[in-house]
Amino acid sequence: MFQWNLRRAAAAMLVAMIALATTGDLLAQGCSMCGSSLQENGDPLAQSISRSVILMASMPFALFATVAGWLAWKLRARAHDASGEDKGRSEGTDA
Amino acid sequence: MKPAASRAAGEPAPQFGGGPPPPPAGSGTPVSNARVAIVMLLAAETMLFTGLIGAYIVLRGASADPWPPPGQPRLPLGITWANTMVLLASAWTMRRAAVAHTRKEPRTLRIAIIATACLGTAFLLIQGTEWMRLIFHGLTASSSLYGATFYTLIGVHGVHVAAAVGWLGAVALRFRGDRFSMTRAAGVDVLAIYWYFVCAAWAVLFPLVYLF
Repeated sequence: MFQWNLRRAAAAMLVAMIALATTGDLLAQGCSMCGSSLQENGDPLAQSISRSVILMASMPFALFATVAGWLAWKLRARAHDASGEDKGRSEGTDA
Repeated sequence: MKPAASRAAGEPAPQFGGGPPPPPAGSGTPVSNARVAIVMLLAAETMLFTGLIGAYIVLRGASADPWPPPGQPRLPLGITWANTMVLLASAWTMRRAAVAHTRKEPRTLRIAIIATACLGTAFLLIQGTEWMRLIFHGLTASSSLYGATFYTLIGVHGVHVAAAVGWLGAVALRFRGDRFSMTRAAGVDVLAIYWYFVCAAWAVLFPLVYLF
């Protein structure tokens, strides 16, 4: 059950990534101020501000994904251990 | 416990003196409260470092002069590489401590904790010496943007290392007089996570500030 949910989540994430990757031109129209002031080619300040914005905007998502992945891994390991214990117990009872 | 007289005829006798049955496997929380707390703290710390790194990137890009500016001393690479190795070695000793804690080996745990504290102290001492030399050569927090960003970023990391060394010292002191309990020592587990974070933060800061 849990494996199936994980696969569905991975598939949904893949679809979202493809959708975001193919709509780059549309997303670039979002902020007119950023578009006018920070899209000067070769300006080191504009480049550094863009890099800084990307870093600071992506970090909360990276943190969330890391913590969620860690918790999912822990839950999965625990479920695996519990199923192993149940199996061992039933085998012991059968014997 | 249900007395034997009131027990039904076919009901089996309770094992281990009765009492409530043990909870089924997998019913509790998969992660301890202490671990959740340290993960939340480290998430906040990560955002602090991210903000500082973001500011560093912008200020470095805004600087009209080349980086580092002319007339300012260069950061010492050789000694900092050695210092990085010291911190990496401390991550290894901390790993040994965490493994010893899991295996319930108090002697190895004590040695590994003290070794980690010594390596962390050595890291701080080497960094302090490096800072004294830089200040002597004219690089202060107010001398330039270069100095301000350097001392802010590396200083914040140094404060974290100092806090972790203090924590290690507190754990090491508990070994004296048998005040340390292997069964109730969630602090070691949490301290190991914090120490790995401090080492990982340095692995990001060192290339950013010293190499690029």
